[in-house]
Amino acid sequence: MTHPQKLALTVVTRRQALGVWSALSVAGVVSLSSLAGILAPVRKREPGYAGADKPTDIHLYAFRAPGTQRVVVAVTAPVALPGRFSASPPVETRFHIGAQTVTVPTARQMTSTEPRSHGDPRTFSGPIVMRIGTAPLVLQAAVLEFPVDTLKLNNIWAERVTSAGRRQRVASPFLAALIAESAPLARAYDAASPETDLIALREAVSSTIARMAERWHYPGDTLAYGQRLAGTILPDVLRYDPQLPQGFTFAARNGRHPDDADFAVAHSMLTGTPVSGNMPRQSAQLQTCFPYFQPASA
Amino acid sequence: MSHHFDIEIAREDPSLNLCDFYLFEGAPGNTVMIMTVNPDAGLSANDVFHVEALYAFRFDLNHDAREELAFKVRFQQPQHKDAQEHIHVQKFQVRKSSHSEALHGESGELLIEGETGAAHTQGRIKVFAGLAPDLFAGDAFALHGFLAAFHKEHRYDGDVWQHRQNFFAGRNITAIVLEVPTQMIGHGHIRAWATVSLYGHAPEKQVSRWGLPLITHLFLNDPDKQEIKEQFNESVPSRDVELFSGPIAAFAARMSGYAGSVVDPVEFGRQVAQRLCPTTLPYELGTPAAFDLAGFNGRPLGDDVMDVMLTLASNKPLEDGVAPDRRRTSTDFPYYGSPYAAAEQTGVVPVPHAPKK
Repeated sequence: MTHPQKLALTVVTRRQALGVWSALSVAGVVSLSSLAGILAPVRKREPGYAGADKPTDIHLYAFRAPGTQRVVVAVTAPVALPGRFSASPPVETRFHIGAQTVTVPTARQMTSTEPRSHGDPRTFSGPIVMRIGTAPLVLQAAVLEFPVDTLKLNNIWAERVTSAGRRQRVASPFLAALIAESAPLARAYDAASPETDLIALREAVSSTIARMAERWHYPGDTLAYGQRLAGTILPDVLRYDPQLPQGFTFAARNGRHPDDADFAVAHSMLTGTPVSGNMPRQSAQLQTCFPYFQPASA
Repeated sequence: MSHHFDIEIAREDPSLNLCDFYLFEGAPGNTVMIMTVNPDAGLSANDVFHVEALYAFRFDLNHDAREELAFKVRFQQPQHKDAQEHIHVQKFQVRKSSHSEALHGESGELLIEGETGAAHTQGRIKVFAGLAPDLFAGDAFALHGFLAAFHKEHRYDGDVWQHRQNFFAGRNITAIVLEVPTQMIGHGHIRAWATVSLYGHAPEKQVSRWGLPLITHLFLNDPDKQEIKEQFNESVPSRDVELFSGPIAAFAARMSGYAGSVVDPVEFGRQVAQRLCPTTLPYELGTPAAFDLAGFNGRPLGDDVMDVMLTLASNKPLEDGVAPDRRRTSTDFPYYGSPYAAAEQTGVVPVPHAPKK
């Protein structure tokens, strides 16, 4: 495909990064010296693109812990979410894994629980550190760990709930990118659940995809493309079968590892065009033991 | 380059070189299947179909990687049209065969017959066989460089795709276009592929197969194991997992590893192999076809399949910068625009062919 307007465009995320840094520095979680690191990555994007900014949005992961018979399901989120939950921060994260629901209270400091019986998850809540390129970024995380033999093919999604009862959903990178394109879609998404997605979101998701595809000069019928893709990404869940090859890739979407190049996969599929986005690579630099993510205090 | 010139017999006799296969919805309630042979027809290749070949569209209707239905085409000796030496005409017949008849031989119900170069209609069945513009697009030289870097230098080189030269621009091919009522095939999700077999004096022998684009040129193109391409073309989808998922997985694992685009290259290789084997084209009958990053659902004329397969192989968004000439498609049967005329082919260099041994 050819794209006449493929110019790099800077989308400033520094304001959001500064907000995160300010909150954390007040709380003593990060040092002044890390400010330079937070400011360092100026992220390049393609024209007209306003998709999800990976470190400043909420993400759900499901993956096999390296070298173990354990499965990790985790949600990471900015410590502060400008414009969404600034007045009332989330107090808990609810994981929906198949028919099972696990609730993890939000913790400002590292908190973990041990499983009571086989099949129960070990849990972690607290601030963690990821790297975007070379820059560290502190995020709030809720992490579950299961023995692999207790999980089959599952549809996974999560929601963060505020003390005022507001909820914020998260599942696949597709919807994370789409709700960043459209505030009305974001509100509808947060108000819906997977069982109502096809009715509540299909039209808005289709039209948002069509707009993205049109901006990227998708050569075919963008409306038909939006409708077709909406039918495959809704209901919005992260599908994960630990028995199958893992990864959120162009070949398959089975779980999602924090280091997956899922930005490129999601945005290429949403635009119908191979899109790299010149994004610096995210790395969780996972540890070998629970909670696998690096606690911020480390 | 989808499967153009991919094996020795194809280079020696282009009428046996199955280059591409398309499958999409035609007129309402109808399904269209197209196969192309004779790459570079009119320049370095003839525009005639092999008289001792069986050209077959094959359909797996129950997901067992074996065909339960086939549409088979056979051509007669070419004649000079109106005594013009350079224009050939061949009579041909199309037969539909089911169940065990579908697997081998040419027997089956006669559906329609005709002559190359013209569209023919029998009720809701339509057929065309003849010269058409080649609607595959790709930068063949860049692919060569991409694979040379991979196989010889053990690295991923995404910079080779900057020249944006469509090797197939302005070239023609010969196409067999068959449109049938969808109910004649079935309903719901099916998988399909096309084959060319030698069939005549000697026992039937399949020499060419197409199930997905670029399988031989990209995934099975190790310079030290070229025989696997012949093996693929002679094989059947029901053996793909056994024979080719290993090499395909190994290629994707190495490519993504060099590209640094996945967490676990071996896992990614397994994902790619599961996606591509059995190597058949999935399609939900009666729905709009599309072969793109969002998925494989048939293949219409004009989709840029090379970008899709390059991206899939490396797990890195890749574009070769060229696209099929969609101005050469039509909304009406046979869905091709006119072939490129001699005046449009000025500067198009004939593809050199290997001499027959």
